[in-house]
Amino acid sequence: MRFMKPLAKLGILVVACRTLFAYLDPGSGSLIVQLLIAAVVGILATFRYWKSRLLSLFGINQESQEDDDKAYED
Amino acid sequence: MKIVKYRILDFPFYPWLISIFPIIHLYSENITLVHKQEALLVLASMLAAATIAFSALNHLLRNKSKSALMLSVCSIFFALSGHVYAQLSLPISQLHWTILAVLAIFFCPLLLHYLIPNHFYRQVLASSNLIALALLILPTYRIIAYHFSTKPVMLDPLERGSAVAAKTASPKVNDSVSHPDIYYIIPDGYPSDSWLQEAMNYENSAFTNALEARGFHVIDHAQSNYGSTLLSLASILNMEYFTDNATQYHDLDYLRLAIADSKVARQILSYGYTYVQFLSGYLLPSPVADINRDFSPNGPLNLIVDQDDYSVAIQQDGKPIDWHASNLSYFYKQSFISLYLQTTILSILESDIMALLPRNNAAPYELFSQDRFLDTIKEIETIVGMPEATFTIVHLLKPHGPVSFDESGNSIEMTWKASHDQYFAEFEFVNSIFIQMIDMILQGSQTPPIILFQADHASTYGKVLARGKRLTHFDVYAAYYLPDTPAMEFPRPYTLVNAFPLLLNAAFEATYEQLDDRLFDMPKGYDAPFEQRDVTEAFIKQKMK
Repeated sequence: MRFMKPLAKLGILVVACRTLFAYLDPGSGSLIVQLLIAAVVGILATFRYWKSRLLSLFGINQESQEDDDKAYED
Repeated sequence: MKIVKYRILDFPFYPWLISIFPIIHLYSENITLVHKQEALLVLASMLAAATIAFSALNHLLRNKSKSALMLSVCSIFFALSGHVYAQLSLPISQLHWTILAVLAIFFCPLLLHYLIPNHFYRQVLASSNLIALALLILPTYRIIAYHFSTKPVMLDPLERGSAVAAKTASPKVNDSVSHPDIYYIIPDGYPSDSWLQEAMNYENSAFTNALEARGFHVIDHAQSNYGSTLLSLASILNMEYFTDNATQYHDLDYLRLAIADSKVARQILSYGYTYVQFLSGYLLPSPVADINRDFSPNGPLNLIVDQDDYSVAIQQDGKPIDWHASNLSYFYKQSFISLYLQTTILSILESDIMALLPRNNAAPYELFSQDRFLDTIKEIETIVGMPEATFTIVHLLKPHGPVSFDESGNSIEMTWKASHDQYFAEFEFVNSIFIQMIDMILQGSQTPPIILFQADHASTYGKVLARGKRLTHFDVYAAYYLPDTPAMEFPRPYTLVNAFPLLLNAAFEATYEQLDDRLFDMPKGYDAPFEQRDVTEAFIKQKMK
């Protein structure tokens, strides 16, 4: 429950940004929404990596993860 | 044989795109209100800063992909800091917030360095490049669409001809009982006494009593038809409602043109008046005005509007100054640099940084400049002294925020987040200035003038009577000084679209019909001024005293 207040604040920020600059509009709400969407898409795009890391925590699919790691090394 | 495949997405260019995305987004949101040149300057500076930071990080880490992600994270913290602080009412000072943001900028890359293995950076490279490109699509499209869908402010040949005709139609007359000077003074965002009492628990009767003692008629049930400056002034000065824009001008340019070249001004010009418009940093120079005056640190500016191309030559003390403002937006656009700084981690240093930037002292003041407000009021005295019958429009950006004076008129740091006490301390100072201005006009006039002291919309401070995110502050301050006119009755309801029809009928025996009193709300932010809804039934003041 202690996370509810910050989450509610974030929700208010995103959906109901206030205009503090009078005639000018910083567009904070839409900027933050776009960056959040970008972050979510970024996480989904690297899902294979996260999945293998997560599974490796439980000792599953270790071999495959090592292959992945090797494949992506610089 | 080793085959080297080169793909554009293998180069980490996304930090540059992420660093400029907030700038392009901010510009696209305010494209009609800020200087393009400043946006380009900020963009170039940010690209240069990103290049330097990337080079330094890459030199340190010897890993382009890793440097790119770290730089992008830092860019996001840098760019979002001011946005987040301005939008959330956090219980910490701006200084503490800035310190937290700076710490985040330093520690997030360190965390990434220690927690994320090197191969990860390589894996996210292509997708990060694509995401960054995708982020830019929407704001870039808005900017391109704006440039292709709107035409710059100019006078069409027909408008040119009629503007010249309007200025020269009648011989100028001197002020007299039949042609008293007319002052239309617009204190931006000044609400009615009853609104101040009900919504802000503030008693403004001292100011109202002072005006009434001087012969003003204060109409406490007056309401603007719109909750925003441009719509309200366009409507008042043209004695009609503005519900759509059928021209190719951008909506705001269309409204500014309607204010600059209005039916009211043309009607009063036809009586032989000299039309004077004081610019406020928010309006266009008028093509029909005899005198357009703006204000700069070097003193008042006289703007000579070219009737052919609507360009403006600027004079000071009768001498031309060294630039020719062919771009009319110069007179109402605001600083993009200042706006951008306010949205970033540098927000706390915004005024200091702006003070360091070179400034042309011959250029007009910024919209919310304290000096613009004080110099404008001082300049009214020169109009009072003119023998001609004058019709003067004065738009004053007080008591509209930001608050920048204390109760004695001393400068304080400009703030949009003023406390109740700060707001009303400035309010009382502004009231005292308004009384001095009224006294100066009354005492300096050879013939008792007509004065409309009438706000454009009500207060945007405090408890705004808004539904959702729409502007509905209609309860304005309106006080009229109408000598030698028969006792005027102000009907209930009374909205400002009928102010000039009433005045012109009473003072000049014109025959304007009264319009139905309608109130329209609109979305905040001027994105869509014509997305209006008729909210008359909900907000109109019809009750009898």
